[in-house]
Amino acid sequence: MQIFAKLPDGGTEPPSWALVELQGDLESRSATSLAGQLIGDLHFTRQGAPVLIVGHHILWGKVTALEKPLLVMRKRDDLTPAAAESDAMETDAEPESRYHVQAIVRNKILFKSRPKPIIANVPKKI
Amino acid sequence: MEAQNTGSSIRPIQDVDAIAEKAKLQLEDLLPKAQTLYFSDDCLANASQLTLVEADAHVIDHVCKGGSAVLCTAEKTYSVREAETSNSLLLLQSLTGPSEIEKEGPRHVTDRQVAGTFYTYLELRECQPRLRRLHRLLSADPYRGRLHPGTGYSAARLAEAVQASRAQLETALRESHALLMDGEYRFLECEYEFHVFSLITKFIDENSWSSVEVRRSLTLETLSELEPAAVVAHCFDKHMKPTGETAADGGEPLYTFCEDQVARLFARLLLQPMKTFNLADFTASWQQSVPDGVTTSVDQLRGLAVVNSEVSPQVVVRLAPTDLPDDAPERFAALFAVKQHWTADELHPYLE
Repeated sequence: MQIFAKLPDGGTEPPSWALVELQGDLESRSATSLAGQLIGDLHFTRQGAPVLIVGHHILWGKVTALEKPLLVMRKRDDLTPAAAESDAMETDAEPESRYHVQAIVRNKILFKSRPKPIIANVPKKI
Repeated sequence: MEAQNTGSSIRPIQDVDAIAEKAKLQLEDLLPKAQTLYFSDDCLANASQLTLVEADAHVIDHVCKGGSAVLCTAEKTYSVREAETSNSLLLLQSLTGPSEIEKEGPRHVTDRQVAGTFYTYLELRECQPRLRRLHRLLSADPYRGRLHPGTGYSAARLAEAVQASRAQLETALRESHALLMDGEYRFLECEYEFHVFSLITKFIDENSWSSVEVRRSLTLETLSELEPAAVVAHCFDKHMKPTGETAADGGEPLYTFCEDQVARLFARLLLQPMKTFNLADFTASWQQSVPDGVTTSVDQLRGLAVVNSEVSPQVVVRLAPTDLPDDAPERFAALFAVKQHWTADELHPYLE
């Protein structure tokens, strides 16, 4: 079986995307879906240390390079004959899965430390 | 890319700074750009449409050069494993890193979208190609002549069915002497292959050629009237090799027997009806049956059969690597069931 992944339209290097890694899960306060919801504010100190403020928590992290970069692949649903790629592929074989390589991720911002709650007098209106 | 000293955001920088200060961050210690992370509107759809795949240098390089086929590049084969992380991986299309932020300038905030949250990713581990399936597929319907055409597999179909890259497949097909006929790969059935080879040896005799004076083009031309040209050529080229000499008349290259291949063909034929053969009887019949100019020897049996000297009288046992279980411990058990003591040399063809 061959699972094919290709850059769309013969591009060269895929764009670089970013990754933020958090311990645990982000939960939504309300019952509605996460779409569009605010997560938090990301700052960097002048020394380059990342700081993330999520709700009443502050997280300290670090930027690291991924030992093995990640490819972000998007599954393609269109298996039209026109979409059959070059690469001398015979037309009698429909590949099982085709993916586009959407992006490459080489670094991540890892927040491993336990979130510290922000204790403050929070005014009613933020 | 927006200008460095401005941001684009829903919330004003003053609100962001207020929160930062409540968190006891000193604004003067921070780079001027803050980024607010939001879940994108299509983050749920993306989480099911996108996959994260961890890739080694070869795959990354290959993909960045516009190459396709990740799980099987043209050269290597990878097994795929889904790895789970206890952390959440937030994927963002754009995020500015600290080294890209100008150190001076007014504080500003830029909104960023998290395209999706991931808890798993795929790990690729380079692995040995699983070529047993190739043998199984091609052995299911070996070619045995025009009257029983049967079906084979095209290169593309094999690539789909066998967990191996194209290059690995090509190598395996070449090493197993698969015949390519009408765009399909076939194995030749043992008796049929022997039949075609016998036509060749008969033709050699009819022309009174010595074993080092065989002519290829006349042989192929004549015998293609009896069996398909592709089969004759394949059989000739598998069992004959150029001597390096040319004919006195016309300078045509002369051929002779590939002793090992010819010996193995006869061995296979002898061992076909009986899995175990008295060694002395086998050795005698074997040497007697091969054409003049071919010498048989037990090392030619590598990968076909093994000699068991632990019994008396000694026997030769037919054993092909594809007869054994795939699973390593089971394969070893099967090997040691044949005999207790093996040399490294004897074991080699049966281990991947």
